[in-house]
This record gives sequence, C-alpha cells and structure tokens, in this order.
Amino acid sequence: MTTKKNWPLRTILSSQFLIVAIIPVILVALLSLYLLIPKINHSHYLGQKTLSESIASQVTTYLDNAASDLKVLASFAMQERKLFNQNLGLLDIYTTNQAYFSAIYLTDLNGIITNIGLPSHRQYLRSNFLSLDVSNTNIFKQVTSSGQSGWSDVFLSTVSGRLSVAYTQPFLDGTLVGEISVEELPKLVQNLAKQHQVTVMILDSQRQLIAHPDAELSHQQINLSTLDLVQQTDNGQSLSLPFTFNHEQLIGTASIMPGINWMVISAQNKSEVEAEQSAVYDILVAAIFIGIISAGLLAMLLAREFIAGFTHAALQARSIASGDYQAPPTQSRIRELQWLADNLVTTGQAIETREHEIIQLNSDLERRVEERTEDLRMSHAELELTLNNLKQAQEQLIQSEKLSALGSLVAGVSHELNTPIGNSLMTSSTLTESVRTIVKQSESNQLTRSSFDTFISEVEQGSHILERNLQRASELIHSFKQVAVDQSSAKKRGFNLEQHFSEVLTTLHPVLKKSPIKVNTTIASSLFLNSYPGALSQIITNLIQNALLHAFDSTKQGIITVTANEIDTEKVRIIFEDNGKGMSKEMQSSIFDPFFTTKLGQGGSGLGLHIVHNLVTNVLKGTITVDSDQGQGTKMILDLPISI
Amino acid sequence: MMLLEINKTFKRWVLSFGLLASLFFLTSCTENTPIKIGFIGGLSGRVADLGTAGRNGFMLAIEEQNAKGGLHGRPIEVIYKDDQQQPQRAQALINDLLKENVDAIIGPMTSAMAMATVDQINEANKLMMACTVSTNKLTDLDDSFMRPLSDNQTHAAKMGAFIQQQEPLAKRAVAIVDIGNKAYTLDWVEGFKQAYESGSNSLRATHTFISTEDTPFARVANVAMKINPDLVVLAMNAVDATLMIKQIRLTNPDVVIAVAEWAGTERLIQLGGHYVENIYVPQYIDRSSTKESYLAFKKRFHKRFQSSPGFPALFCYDATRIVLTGLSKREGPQSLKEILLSIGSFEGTQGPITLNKYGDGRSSTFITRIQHGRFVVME
Repeated sequence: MTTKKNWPLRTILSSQFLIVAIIPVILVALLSLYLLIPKINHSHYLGQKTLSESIASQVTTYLDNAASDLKVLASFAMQERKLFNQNLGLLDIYTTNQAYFSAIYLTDLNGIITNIGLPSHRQYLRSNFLSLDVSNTNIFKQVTSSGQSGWSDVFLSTVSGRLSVAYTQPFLDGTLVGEISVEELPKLVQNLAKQHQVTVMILDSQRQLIAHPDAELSHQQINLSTLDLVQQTDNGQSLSLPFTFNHEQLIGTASIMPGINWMVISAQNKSEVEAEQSAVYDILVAAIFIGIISAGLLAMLLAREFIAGFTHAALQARSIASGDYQAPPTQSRIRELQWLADNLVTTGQAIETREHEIIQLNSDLERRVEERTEDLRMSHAELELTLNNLKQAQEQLIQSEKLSALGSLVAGVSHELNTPIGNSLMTSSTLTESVRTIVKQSESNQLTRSSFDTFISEVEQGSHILERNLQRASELIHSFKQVAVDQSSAKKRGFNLEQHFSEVLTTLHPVLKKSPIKVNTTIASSLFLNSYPGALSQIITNLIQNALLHAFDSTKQGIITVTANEIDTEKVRIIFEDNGKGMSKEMQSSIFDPFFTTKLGQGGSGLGLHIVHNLVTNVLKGTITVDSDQGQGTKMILDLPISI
Repeated sequence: MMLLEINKTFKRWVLSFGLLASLFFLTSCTENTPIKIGFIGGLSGRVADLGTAGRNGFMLAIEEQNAKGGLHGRPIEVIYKDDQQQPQRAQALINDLLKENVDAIIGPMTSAMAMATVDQINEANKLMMACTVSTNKLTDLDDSFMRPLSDNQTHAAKMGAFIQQQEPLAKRAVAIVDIGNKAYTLDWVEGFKQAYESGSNSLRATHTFISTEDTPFARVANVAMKINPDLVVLAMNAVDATLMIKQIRLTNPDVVIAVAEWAGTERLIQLGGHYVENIYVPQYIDRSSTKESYLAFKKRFHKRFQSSPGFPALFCYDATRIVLTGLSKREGPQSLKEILLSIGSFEGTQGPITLNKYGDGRSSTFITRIQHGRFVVME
C-alpha cells in the first residue's frame, strides 16, 4: 500500500484559505486593470477634453469679438471715409480705447501702411511704421490671395514687438489690419493651470506654442508639430496621449479651434494621473494584505479548534486502544467533531462489552480443554497398560519362539546326527557280523584266503565308512555346540566371519538340502569381527529361513547370495540377496514390526525379522535396511561395527 | 514617490502571481542616464528670429540623433535657455546650465552674449559651441569657446572689398550700428571699413543705437541721412534693418545699402517688402548651393518647421552635429574640446567644416543681393 504524503492541518487550512482569499483579489485586480483603470483614464480624458474645448471656445469667442469689433469699425468708416484721415487720429483713439488690438493699420493695395493707429504711449513711434511695406508678410498675402477677411498665423509683430495674430479684411482699395498680441493667452492659461491644476497649451496653426503657463515658453515659437498627440489630433483623432514637454511627463488631450485652426492641449502631470491609478493599486494591495492576514488568522483559529478536536479524538482512540474505555468525551462546538468524540465513547463501550464476552468464552474453552486433557490422560494410561501387556505377551512369544527355535534346532541336530550315527551303527554291526563269520571260519578252519581277503576288504571299507560318518557326526556336534554355546552364552569374542557363516550354514544344511534354493557366500576370509557371534548366528539363520519361507514359490529354483565386505576400518557390510519375488514398499515398511507375517497360521510367528532387527540394532549396534521391489528380489543390508 | 513605490509593490505582487508578467516587466526596465546639452540664445522678443531659427536647427539635430537611439544608447536631453539678448541674464543662465552639469552648450547666438559668458565657461572648462558668433575678440584663443564659422574680419572685409569694386560711385558712406551687440557690430564695421576705404571712399560717420521696441528707427535713419551718403552700411538684426531701410529709402530711394550678415535672415525680406530690393546682404551660407546634403537638410527642416532654414538654423545644426560627433567619440579622460580638436574636420551641411587649433571654424562669405524678394548670390 502506498502512503500518500500528508501535511499538517494548519498548513492545508492556511494554504486553502489563502487561495480562497487571493482568488477574488486577483479577479478584482484584473477587473481593475481592464475595467476600472481604463474608466479612470477615460474620465481623465473626458475632463481634459471638456477643458480644452471650453478654452478653445473662450479663445474663439475672444477673437470673434475682436473681429466683429473691427468689422463694426470698418462698416462705420465706409460711411465716413474721412474719419480715417491721419490727422483725425481716429485709429489711435480706437486702438487706445478698445480692449483687443495693439495696432490697427490700413494698407494700400501694394501693402504699404498708409495709416496706423497705436496706443497712446507708442504713438511717437508712428513714423517707424508708416509706409512700411507688408506685402511680403503672410498677413497681407493671405487676404489678397483669398479676398476674404480672416485671422492670420501667429507672427512676431514688428509694430508691437510681440507675438501677435492679425485680423485682416479687405477695405476699400486696400486692407484693414488689426493686430492682437497673444500675450494675454499665457495669462489665461496660467489662471486655468492654477484653477484646474492642468497644463493648458495653445498652439497656432503651424503648431507653434503660443501659450503655456510658463510665459517664457510662450514667446519662444517652439514648434510642437512632432508631438504624437498633435499629429494624431491633426489627423482627426480625439484621444488622450502621454507626452514629454519641457522635461515634464504629461498626459493630455487636444482640441482644434475651428476657423483659425489653433490647437488647445489640456494636460495633466502623468504622475498625478497615475496617482489615481496608484490609489486603486493601493486599495488592491491593502485588500490583499487584509485578505492574507484574515485568512491566516481564520485558518489559525480554525486549525486550532480542529487540531484540539482531532488530538483529543486521537488520544481518546489511543486510550481505548490501551484498554481505558472510560476516557471522557471532549466537548466541541463542531457537530462532526462532537459526533466523532461521542462515537469513540460508544466504540469504547462496544469493545469493552465484546471483550467481556471473549473472556467468558475463553474461560469456557479452557475448562473444556482441561476436561478433554483429563480424558486423554486416562486413555493414555489405559493404552500404556495395554502396551505393557502386549510387551509381556511379546516377550512371552519371543521366549516361546526361542524355545521353538531351540526345538527345531534340536530336531535338526538329531536329524543330522541320526544319519552318520545310524550309518556307523549299521557299519559296526556289519563289521561285527563279518568278524563273527571270520572267527567262525577260523575256528572252523574253514578260513580261506579269499574269504579272509574279502573280510579284510570289508573291514577296511567298514572302518572307512565308520571313520567318515563319525567324522561327520563330530563335525555336526562341533557346529551345534558352537551354535549353542554362542546362542546361549551371548559372549562377545573375536571370530572369523567366513568361518562363522560356514558353521551357521552347516546347521541349516538339513533345511537347505530339502529345498531347491542354493546359498552362495562370497565373504572375504580376512574379515574378523569382535562381536556377538551368537546373535549373528541367529540373524543369519532367521534371514535365510525367512528367505526360504517367503522369497520363493515352493517349486522354483532360487539363489540366496550372501556377500560381506569392509566398508571402512570401522564397519562391515553384509548383504543377503535373493532373486525371489520381492515385496511391496508397503510391506517393507512393516517387515520389522513384531507379529508381522504373511504366512500367519502356516508356521510363521511374525517375529523372525523383528528378532533380527532387535539383535542388529540392540546387540550388534548396527543397522539393517531392506531394499526390494515386487518381482525384483530382496536385499537385506546389514551395516555392523567391526568391533563393539 | 511613495505612491510610485506602492505601485511597484503591486506590480511585483502581480508578477509573483504570474499575471501580466511581460506587460509589467517592460515598464520596470531602467533607462540609460541621458546626455545633457544646453542651448542658449535669444528666443523671445521682437528680434528673436535669430535665436528661434538657431534653436530650430539645434532641435532638428538633436531630434534626429535621438530618433537614431541617442548616443551609444543614451538619450540626449536638452535644456533651452532664453537670454533675451541681456548680458546679465545670459550669465545667470550659463550658471544654471553649469549647475545642471550639461555635457556641452550650444550657443549663444550673438557676439554680445558670447562675450558676456565666455569667462564663465572657460572657468568651468565647459565646451561652448557657438553657432553664429563671429566677433574678432574671440578669434584664436585657446579657450573653451568654439565656433564653426570664421570671424568678422574675414566676412566684413569681403563685403567691403566687394562694394568698393562693384559700387564705384558709393564713395561717401555712413554706418548705423546696434551697439547692444557691439562686439559684433563694431568689429564688423571696422572690418568693412578697412576693405572699403581706398581712394576717395570713406566711411564718414557711424551712428549707433540700442535695439529696443521703443527705438525711434525713423529718427535714427533721418539723422544718418542728413549728410546725404552714397552708401549706408547697417550692422543690426533683420527687424531693425527693415525699419531702418524703409526710412532710408523714403529719404533717398537710390542710396546703396549694405547690411551685415546678422540681418540676412528670411525676416529681412518678409518685413522689408519692396524697400529691401537691391540691397547687399553677405551670407554665411551659399543659398544657391545644390549640394545634396544641403538640399536634404532644407527639406527636412521645412518638413519639421514649415519654413526655410536660414544661416542661424544651418550653423546651429552643424554646430550641434560637431558636438554630437565629439560626444560620441568620448571615452576616458579626454575632454570634449580635446576630442573635437583631435578630430579637426567635420561633415558640414554645405561641405567640410575644419576647426583650427583654437576651435575656430573657417567659413566663406557669399555676397547676395535681394532681387524680387529673394537672396541672389553675386559672389
């Protein structure tokens, strides 16, 4: 199972609260950036636009009034032409008394000034200007080319020495020109600048600056036609644009005055405009801080409450785990936490109840186990008793088997001895008879040489027979004696294995003689054992008898091969191998068990191999194993220590 | 400032959320510190045509350079100062410029202003490249003052010689000079006189005035004309010259009139009308030049200011170009003056401008005559 990485509740709550706090702020920021600030900018634009248009209209009105003044003068003079006679000084009076014009002059068709009205303090300079040829000036060219009255561009007036604009209208055989100094304009925009905290700039039709709150700049004929704002406005656009002028960063809007094609720019310091945007940013920043701090506090408070609830629940669970079911439930105002706590209490109680039941069940079980154990103990005792009885029975059987073996041994011995002794008896009686006959003949002197020679041949033959049979008897007895002595005495001694086998096989001779089975032995003559020869005799006897009895079908020929070899200096291996019918694995597992027999009731006691096993393992301290298969013959392998 | 910082904080905040990152990033780039160049000239008042024309030439040069990205990526910032042809005012303004630590000063436009301020700039070791100052008093001095044109001696002498040859009947001469700018005008008349006076040619009198809006030009002219001269020599600005010439012509329509270069601006023709016809006007520039660089300059100037460049605009343009060239080569401890002197020769609008070892240029004088309202080059 993979465990997911986990974080403290405080971290999770804080971060999620932060996200919740920040997302709306981001949205508001975006809205501000894309809606509010453009709106602020637009309202600035509108404000500036309104201002510039109002200034434009003020200036236009001013110029219109001046123009209409001049027209009134012209129409008046048309009726009374002599009024313009230089000596009457009407133009001087008019120039001095009205508000607009700094000079009013008449020219002839060639552009020569024929009469000029000056304000009283400059009238002494009249001769400077009378007869001046203004035909090359734009003012004059404008009116003569169009034949229309109208305002000139701004120019530096030779008459007043000031930047001026002239209203020119055809008059009789010449023109009537009124010059207005634009020096008043800087004052106007200065006032506006103070009132509205804006920079107002007026540009003439060539886009030269003619009015600026800084009066000095108003006189320098600075050409601003390269400003983006000016160019775009001239292209017919109405917009608010940032620009730099006189080392000031400004944002402004421009309006064009119809008729004279002047331009009014109303501009604000860029940083002032941005200050409003900054206010919006400030609010946003404040909102972010408030959001973050309140989210943090809220998260902390909540986290504290949650952590308290959860910690208590965890402790409660741990108490329950450690077996204390009575831990008191915490009190929380959070319903779910309260529920958790209550449920933990219920859980504790439920576990307690169940635990009691289990304890009860356990004690029941223990009691039952004890009862059962008692039963088992009793049956075990019974079994032990039975086993003892059985062992006794087995002992008895073994004893009786031994007796039976002794019986059959005695019978075998008797049977064996019977032949040579009988033969000897019969021979001796024949010899006796022969002797008697000879004696009779001799006594009767009937003894012939031939009969004596016959007698001598008979005696010789008879004694030879006697000797042979008695020899045989003697051998037998020796063997029996040896067997008997070994079996009975159970004495440990050194003996030659081959010789011992020979002796034991001699005792079995009568049995083997009757059987179609042959026993071949291949035993190294040099093998000497220091062991119990009696036990080994019994083992050989039992194994050969067992093979004779079980390995072969009665009529068939068979061979039992006995081989013995040294395995090492400590051990010798003796193998009894027959080529009989063999036995099943199942049978192999039981053959050394007592009373196991396949020929029950046919003379087998079922103890033969058991005795063999006992003798091999208990007396000779060796091992016996069986290797056999159905139809493959049987191999009994004995590994015996050379010396015990 | 505070607001600005909060503004930045906000921007950083926005940045940190990865919103509009690129948009705001662009605004936070730092700019190179600008190069500062001061301009000083008479920019206002009734005779401001010289100053404003010079200012326009300067402005055009700077605007062109800034449009190319400034000097080595640094923008050029300009500071304009209007001396109003008043010496004390000019001195104060030069102090302002020195305090601003400008890299160089272009101007002033008249010899009087140059004489008033030359000590200050020498003391401060600040290069002042005048446009049209031609007084002999500043000729061949190893100082911080430089100019792209020759001094009066060269110009006025040529005019004098020319009149002497071309107007053999003009034997009796009077001069009228504006001693408000005497460093120029008196120099000029002296130079003229030396070349002109040979044989029976003689400059009989020199009448002076100081140019103000209240100067009774007609009366000054009438006084000068009392001896009935054959030749009137005028050393004054264009506006004053027109008023003066009108009065002279009203008195004697046939008298030969020669004016100094100072008056040779477009305003002379504009305001002079038929009175200025046939007067001799020497020019610092060849108005008949067909040099490609001059024609291109004229075109650019006209596009920018809707008027033709006269000599003040052209010389200020060239003077500014020279200073910009020097500033662009500036590195290490070499002063701007040393750099300019080591470069020596510069591309001028009307041909190469060579500075001598004192930083004075050499220029020709082209004698023109006003015919049908135009300056026509005679020699």
